[in-house]
Amino acid sequence: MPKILLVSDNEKQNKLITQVLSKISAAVIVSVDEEAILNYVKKSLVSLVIVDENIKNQDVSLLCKKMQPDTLKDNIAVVALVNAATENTELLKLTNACVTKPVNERILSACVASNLKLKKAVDTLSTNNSELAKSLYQLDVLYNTSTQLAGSLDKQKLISIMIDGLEKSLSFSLSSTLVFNDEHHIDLIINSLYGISPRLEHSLKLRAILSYRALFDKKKIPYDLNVNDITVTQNVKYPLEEYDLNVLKFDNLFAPINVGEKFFGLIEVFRETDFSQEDTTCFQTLARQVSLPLENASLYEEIKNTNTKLEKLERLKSEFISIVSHELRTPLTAIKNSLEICLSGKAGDVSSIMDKFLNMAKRNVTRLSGIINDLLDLSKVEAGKMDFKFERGSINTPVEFIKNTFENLAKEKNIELVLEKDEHIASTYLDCQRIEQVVSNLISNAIKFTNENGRITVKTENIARADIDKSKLIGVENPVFYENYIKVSVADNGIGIAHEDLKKVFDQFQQIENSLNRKNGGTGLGLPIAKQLIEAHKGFIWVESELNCGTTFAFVIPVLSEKEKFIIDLDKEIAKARTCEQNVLLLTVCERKNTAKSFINEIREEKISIIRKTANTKEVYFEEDTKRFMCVMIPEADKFAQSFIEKKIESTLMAQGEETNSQKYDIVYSTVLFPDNGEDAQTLMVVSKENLKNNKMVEV
Amino acid sequence: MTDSGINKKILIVDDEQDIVETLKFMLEAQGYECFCAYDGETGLNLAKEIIPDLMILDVMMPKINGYKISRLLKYDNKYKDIPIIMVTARSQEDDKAIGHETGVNEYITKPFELDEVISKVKEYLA
Repeated sequence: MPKILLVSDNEKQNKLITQVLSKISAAVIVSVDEEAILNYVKKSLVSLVIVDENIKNQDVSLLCKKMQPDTLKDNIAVVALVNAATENTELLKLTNACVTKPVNERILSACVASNLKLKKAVDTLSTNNSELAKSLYQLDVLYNTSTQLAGSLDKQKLISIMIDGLEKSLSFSLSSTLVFNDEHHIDLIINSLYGISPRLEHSLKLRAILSYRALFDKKKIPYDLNVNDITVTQNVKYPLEEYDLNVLKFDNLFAPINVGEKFFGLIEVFRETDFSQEDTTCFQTLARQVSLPLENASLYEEIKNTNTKLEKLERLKSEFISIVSHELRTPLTAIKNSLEICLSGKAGDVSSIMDKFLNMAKRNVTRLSGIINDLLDLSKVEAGKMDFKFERGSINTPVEFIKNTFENLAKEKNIELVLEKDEHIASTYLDCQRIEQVVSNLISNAIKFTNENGRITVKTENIARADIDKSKLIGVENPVFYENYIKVSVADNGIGIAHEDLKKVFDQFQQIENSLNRKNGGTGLGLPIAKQLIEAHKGFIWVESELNCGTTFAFVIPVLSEKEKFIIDLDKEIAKARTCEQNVLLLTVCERKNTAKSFINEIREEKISIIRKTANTKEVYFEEDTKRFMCVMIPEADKFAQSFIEKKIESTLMAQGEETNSQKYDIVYSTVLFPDNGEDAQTLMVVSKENLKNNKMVEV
Repeated sequence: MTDSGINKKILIVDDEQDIVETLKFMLEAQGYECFCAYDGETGLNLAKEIIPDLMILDVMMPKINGYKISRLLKYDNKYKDIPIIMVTARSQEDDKAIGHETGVNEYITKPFELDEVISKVKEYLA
């Protein structure tokens, strides 16, 4: 039954109105007390208010004004009873309708009825509207939360994103989340509006355990949980007030969090006001949504752990080989020296038989030291500890040098050793000594496996990326190709390698079972080392062979531009920084006009004499977007190089005048830092370029 | 006995006794007078006492390592002219660089050929 508030002190009129309105099933409350009136309206206890214009000692307009915020909010209509000749326009403005006095029964009841009907319609509409807005908001939160969830692989973060999402969409009073990180590490995360009494904390713990047990109703509980096993994390919004056990009387929602088939945790939320059906759906959706990313996070964690273990093992292996090899060298030296002394005859006469066996011992000691050197090389190159000295040059130089050193050996076996070199071979970055090591290994192998009167051809040539037969590359993961290459091949017409063995030639310790090979000695490490050395040059090595027809070993090395070389170096520094948990700085200097050239040259010159000595500083010029850049890469630990370059830049800027307008400067520089700005060289370069574009001087 | 070795004193410092023995044998066969020390401290004191014409020095040794001995001698006017041949199992480029920085004249990695050491010795004592 709608209630109507009648504000009037005209008792006769009041009686009449009450009578009239009872006919349309409306109850009338009469009052002239301002406080009571405002209270009725505020609490929305009435559906309509009728005000008389003339009340003794009462400003009706003012009263209406005071009521207005609440009447508007709850769609309460106000009907004024006015004199026919009223001049109170303000009152007319503040009310929804007016009926002239003396009151006409029919007009009044029609007016009241229609306004009540209107209120009902508007009420329904606004309820729908607010529900719509609420579910829209919840959907939005759901969407945002799921986007955030998809972007993270960190379990803790995923859980906090979920709780955040729940808080936004449900505005709960308290949430309690039980998280199983592993059997011995169980967290109870409590997010609450107010502080939590110790009693409440304890009950929440117990409640979580009970809920956990209830989840495995009658089935075997995977891990028995104790109150003492649980560590509690509290996030309290307003710590000044405190919740006690009363929270447990609030409406609550509960859901388990599963990761795949496995139980991961559970969440319970409490709210002072009751949860609606939509709230429940939203809650369940969020709790379900977090499962998939959590599963991914678990898998990722597992992979990461395995990876770290593997890396550690690999490092241990390398270290082991390196230490053992070093330790072997010392006694080996003593043996070698002693044999030499005996063989020299200085320790007494040596019979021819003694000489034969002493020589045998010496030959084998030499072989042993060769093996140790190979092992050391391999462990160094695998651990990334091999020092490469890359310099721009022609590959013809080392190839020709090695070919000449083998000429005598070839002649002894009556083998024709030919070099076909391309005089116009492109120059690129190589470590001559390492290339010599590779070519020497290939030629010595060729001589070993070629019969008398055979022929070995060594060839150098320029080739393009398309000329590389990718099917020949074995054991290369995710190859990166460049546009142009130089190729070196060593072809013989010797005994060849069986098809099934071809795959194995570059494997460590995989000497092919072959009597000739055994007879010819060798560690079986030469080719694996060659492969590593060529790969350190970003090249590829492969083999083609036919049994009894001959073998061709070939390798290619990319012809790198200055920029490409710089990116490779940067990647290497990043990898190194990652293993040492250290930062790399990329300092980019952008030159805008030619006047800056002298400054950059200055840095260059100084750098050569000062910075290079202290660190693996790399610098390069390259053009991009028609602007010239110079990039300098410095390990973060090298504070000296850093401050040197920064001071140089500052002093040059100062020398250019006092204008603060950066457009006038010829040099803009930016620094970026691994790992804050990116994971690899390419992203570092992008960030660095962006900073330059924005004229941003990044503080180091 | 060859002329080159007459009246020349060589100090060998290495904690590997066998290496010292073999080096000593070959050098004495060349007519050099050899002194030996098996740890860094004794080696340094002996060097200051006898002022040898040449030193053969290992790196990894008890008490004072070879780099330090070399630095101490090469920065002292009294001893800076003594040629030092460093013999070591450490063959990293960095190690060599440190060796040269501390002033050693030659850097030979183990395992070495006795002939190689002797020809270097002869080069410095010619």
